[in-house]
Amino acid sequence: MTVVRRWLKWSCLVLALLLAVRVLTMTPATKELWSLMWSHLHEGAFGVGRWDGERNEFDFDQLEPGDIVLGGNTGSSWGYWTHAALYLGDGQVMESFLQTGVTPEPVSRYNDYYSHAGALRVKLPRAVKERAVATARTLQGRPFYLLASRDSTSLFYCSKVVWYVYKQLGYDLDPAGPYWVIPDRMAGSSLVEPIQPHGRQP
Amino acid sequence: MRKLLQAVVALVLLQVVMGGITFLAADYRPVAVLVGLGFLALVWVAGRGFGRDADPGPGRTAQHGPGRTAAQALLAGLLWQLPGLQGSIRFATDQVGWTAYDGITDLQDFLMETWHTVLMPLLGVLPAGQVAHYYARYYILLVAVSPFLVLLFACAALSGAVRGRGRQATAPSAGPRRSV
Repeated sequence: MTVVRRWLKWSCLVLALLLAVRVLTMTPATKELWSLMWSHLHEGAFGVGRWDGERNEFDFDQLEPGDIVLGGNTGSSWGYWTHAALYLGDGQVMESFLQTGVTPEPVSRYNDYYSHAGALRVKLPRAVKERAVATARTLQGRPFYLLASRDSTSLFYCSKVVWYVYKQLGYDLDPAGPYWVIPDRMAGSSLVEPIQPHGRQP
Repeated sequence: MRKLLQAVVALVLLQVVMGGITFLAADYRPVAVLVGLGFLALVWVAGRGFGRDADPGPGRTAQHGPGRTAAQALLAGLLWQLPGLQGSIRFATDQVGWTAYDGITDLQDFLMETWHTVLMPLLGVLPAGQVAHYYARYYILLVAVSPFLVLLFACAALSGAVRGRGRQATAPSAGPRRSV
């Protein structure tokens, strides 16, 4: 174990150096990473929150390919919306879960497994949105990793899939975010507008 | 027992430190992948060292054989991989129907994945795809990582112990060996 111990000493030094560089040069990102996980802990909010077991009645009938679908549960530490996906058409969204990686799923699961749901229309030409959908399909099967950085092209989480496909086309839906792509910030982007459902409001 | 616990602490530190480096180097994919490969190599080296350390050395009577060394390494490996193994066990019990998917499953999976940060970039370069009709290939591999690491460490320890004994038999007058 001597080599390992010796190596550990050196790698701890490298880690401390990298951490120092990260903290000094990317303070907003470092702060965000920690604050999103812990800042609302005293209110009982942590991580993705808790689904109350009640189905919501949001009407997804008006969706067009390239729209953004949102879901949310109470008690999340990163906002009202806890999940996001890209609508592909034909009742399917491009999702990202830990067990499945990036994968198409029925949009109806947003009614079944979230306390509240919503949708956003991206204010871009149809051709751009079709390219976004095509890009999303190329990501199928990529691993889910909650701590994936924005620049990583191999690891994704739900909202990063949506952000990434539009970013590839030159449109940033969350320019203010230093590290994570947060659904709430995408919902506030000037590039999107909320879709008002015909049915019951969320 | 003390040696076993020292090994567990060293292995946990190794995984946490390597995970930290991977996280910070995540934007440089080749570097992050190399860190993952380096981690696997270091686990092997650590296992060999564990096996050799258990060997009593030239001129001293062996208190136990390589089999027991491997068993100790297995125990050390199981303790070291507890944060990952809890996810693997949960997956296995879900599959046989002993437990059902619930909110805790997600937290367990997040813990398992975060624990295996060091190997995530490596899993990211594997061909994407799904097995059965639901689970992604990378997820199945992620679930298998902890048992694999335990076995890797135990096999390396067994290999180190057997080699150490071989040396002892062929060169009984050899001087004190350096631990690896």
